[in-house]
Amino acid sequence: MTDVPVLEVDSLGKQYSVHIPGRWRQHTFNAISDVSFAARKGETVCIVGESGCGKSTLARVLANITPPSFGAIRFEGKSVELLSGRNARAHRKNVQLVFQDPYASLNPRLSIGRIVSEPLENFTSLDAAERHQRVEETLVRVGLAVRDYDRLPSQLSGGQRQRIGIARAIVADPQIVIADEAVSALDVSVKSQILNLLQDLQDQLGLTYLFVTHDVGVVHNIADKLIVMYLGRVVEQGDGERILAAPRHPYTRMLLASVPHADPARRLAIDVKHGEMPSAMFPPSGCVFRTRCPHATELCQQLPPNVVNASGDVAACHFADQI
Amino acid sequence: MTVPAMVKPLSWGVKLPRFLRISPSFGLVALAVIVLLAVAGPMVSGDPNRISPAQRLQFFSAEHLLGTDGLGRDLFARIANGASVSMLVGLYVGLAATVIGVAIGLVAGYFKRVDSVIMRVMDGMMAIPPLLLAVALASIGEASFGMVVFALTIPEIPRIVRVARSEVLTLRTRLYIDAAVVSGSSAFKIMYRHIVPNLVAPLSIQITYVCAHAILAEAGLSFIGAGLPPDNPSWGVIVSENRSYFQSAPWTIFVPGFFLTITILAVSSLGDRLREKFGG
Amino acid sequence: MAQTMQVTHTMQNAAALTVEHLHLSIQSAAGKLGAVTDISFDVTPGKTLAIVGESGCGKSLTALSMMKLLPPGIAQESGEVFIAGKPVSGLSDLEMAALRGSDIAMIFQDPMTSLNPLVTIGSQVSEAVRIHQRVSGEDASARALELLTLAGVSDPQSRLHQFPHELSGGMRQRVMIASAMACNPKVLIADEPTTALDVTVQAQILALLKDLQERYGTAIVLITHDFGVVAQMADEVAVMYAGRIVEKGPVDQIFARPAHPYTRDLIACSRHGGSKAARLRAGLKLPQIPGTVLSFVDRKIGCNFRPRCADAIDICGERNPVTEQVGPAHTVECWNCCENHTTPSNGATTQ
Repeated sequence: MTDVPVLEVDSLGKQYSVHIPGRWRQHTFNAISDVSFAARKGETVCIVGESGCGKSTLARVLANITPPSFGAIRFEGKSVELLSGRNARAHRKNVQLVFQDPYASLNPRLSIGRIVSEPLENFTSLDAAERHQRVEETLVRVGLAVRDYDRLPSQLSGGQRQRIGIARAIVADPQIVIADEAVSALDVSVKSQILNLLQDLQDQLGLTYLFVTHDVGVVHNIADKLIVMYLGRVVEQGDGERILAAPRHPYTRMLLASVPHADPARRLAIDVKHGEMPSAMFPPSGCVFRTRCPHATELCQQLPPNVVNASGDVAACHFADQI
Repeated sequence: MTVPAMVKPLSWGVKLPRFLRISPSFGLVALAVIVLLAVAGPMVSGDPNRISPAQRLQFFSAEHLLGTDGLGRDLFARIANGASVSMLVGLYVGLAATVIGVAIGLVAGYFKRVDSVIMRVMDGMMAIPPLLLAVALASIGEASFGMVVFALTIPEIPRIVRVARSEVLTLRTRLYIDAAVVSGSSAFKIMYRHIVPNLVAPLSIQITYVCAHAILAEAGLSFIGAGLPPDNPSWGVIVSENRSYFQSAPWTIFVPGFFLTITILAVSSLGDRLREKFGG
Repeated sequence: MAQTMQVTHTMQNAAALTVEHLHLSIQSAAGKLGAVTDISFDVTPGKTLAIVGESGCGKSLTALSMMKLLPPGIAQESGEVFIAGKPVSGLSDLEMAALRGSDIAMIFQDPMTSLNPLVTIGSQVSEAVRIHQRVSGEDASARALELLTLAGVSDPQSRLHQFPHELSGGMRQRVMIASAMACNPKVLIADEPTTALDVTVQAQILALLKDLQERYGTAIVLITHDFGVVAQMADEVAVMYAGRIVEKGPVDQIFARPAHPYTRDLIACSRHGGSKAARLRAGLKLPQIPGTVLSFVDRKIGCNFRPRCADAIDICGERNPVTEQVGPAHTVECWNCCENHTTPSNGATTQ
């Protein structure tokens, strides 16, 4: 493992402008703001949050589908957020994406083989026969069959289609694979298959995963590092196991406490008062969580600091280690 | 709840009585007959331009199947000739308008920055009445087949651009386009691999409508004398030549008119059939 | 035989909802296929039955059949549904419509498409009241306000005049619950009510349903794929696979001693087994079930779960398993059930 993290993100932000009916000027808001973290080779970083937290925007920015508005992204030490044109396309080889929807993310008119060879056509100079060979190897690696090369995606099930998406992502040997809710649309029994496959691939190929999800159960199963997001900001990040065992930010606590256990002996309390999520377009000032936080005080109207504990985990709360 | 796609719901449509429904194959059969006429007709009929004053304005007969016109020329020969001319005009205009229109529509739909500019230009073009535009363009050069095709193509382009652009806008939001971007494909590659194949269905329908419209427009152009020269007659030219014989020899006008009507109906019904098949 | 009939009838009288030997068929390109086969269960007032299964198992169709709202192409072949002891198959459309909303109500998964975007919240919530009870417009509005407050909708007075698009997903689901509870139905069917919601909102909605149940004694049929939700809410559980109920019983027993291999494996998949580091150190993988969920066309002779079952024996491919009793009120359809309690496949740890 080298010393330079394979991916570094510094104060990343993404701004959008929308037209609000009744207002003269466009309203700008930050879908994500001030996101910073580093990922080492072979690690799985889970980015977890609920709707409106900006995790999908973060995935798209890191995959360079949309450019960031603020901040820096460094890949193996080299700055990449300002790349454009051919250089940007060449860098795409390093960061690939597995999408959430196994139906919409595959062109229904193309055969599976053609779908999976598209990255090879763009990133490598292999000839047609070599590409065919490589695609076949990759299909087998993800648990599909060589004969699936000529079939259409519509002939396969949801779980199998997600395997196609994974094959497409790894065929050109990327360093980083971003999984944007990659297992959310799958049945429970198939979810574990895909997670096990992703783990195997990570062991075999040394991949670094950025796993965006809203499913806390998945996070328990796969996270090395964890980033918890709320309304576009990082509220807690650090070692996955430690945070899941002892969360320091009130939102993380609320989130983990809301997940029902598959065990009737451990039912959650019935008198939950979690409040409503504010609109991402008009977030509260200061600490964005203060409208729902049971410990909020006047101090929380000021932006909370990042309180770093001894192990290097970060929690963005004025009272992080006190409650 | 999702019900599996293979379930066919009951149909609720009202069924027309049998005799009112035009069979979908009518269009294809009629079109086939016209094409046969266009291809084989000139070979079996005589010279469309042979003037024979002794036999002016004759009704249908064994010698002249569809009669003769004011100069004694055999109408059957002229109409057979006209078939290929009219249909070729329609075909060339359809193809040219579609190729150019798709290219512009792709660029407009894919690249937001040039979209507004292109669409305003198209709006400007659509604001000019098509026939007038065609007449104006046709008057630039001398009357010829190429000139007529050019003059008729330009007014048809904006409509194709609109259809192509709206399809591209829809397709662009599909997730597999994002996937193609992440896979490193350039905009051009995405357009030809992922977008254009999905345009074939809606645009093949549009081609037929453009064709039908062009055949009719060419007839109109020729009727007012701004179209094709008389030695290579289209049906519109024939109607135009014979318009003074409306009362004395009406068949000289109605017969080419009849063929025009049938052809346009046939091409349009082909378009409808395609639309049903592609569900567009 | 006569004795069982007698028992069934008394059960029917006590149960808020009874389903007996329900068979649903689906019209497809390959002809008529079985969608749901031989489903039987009942729900006691004040209790929750969870019907749990993955996509394509027929749980949603079962729910719709209880309301006689089957989509075109799906038909009820045989079997009977009793709402508060009354059989519904003989009812005319008008009579059934009178039951819907007043005796039996349903809430759906997607609150965005289940509410009419052009009608105010107040109107939608009071709709059931106006249809089933003769009340004046003001009384209906007052009742709507009452219901919205009961459902925990914030600022209910102004919500009455708002439209669905102005509310968040969680709020909309509360509105749906409010309108479903308008006439105090005996049975509430909830089809994946929290699947589309954030997990913190889910906790609130489930708590709300529990609260309403305690107040009004409503029987709830909860359709879900999430075993966490099942554990949280259910008193009884019915596990469905490929159109059949493969296991049914009280919630404690189902989780403590799952008899059917599918139930056992699904529960194992639903629990996050310890920490990742510990699991990796032990060289274990996450528990998984191989293969894919069976579709309608692929159902064959014998047990539907056989292609994916780690414990299949020869007879599983020849005949469909018969129902066996493995505990009080706990039944299972499996030839090999009693051999394999609490040993999940793939050797992963369970919590």
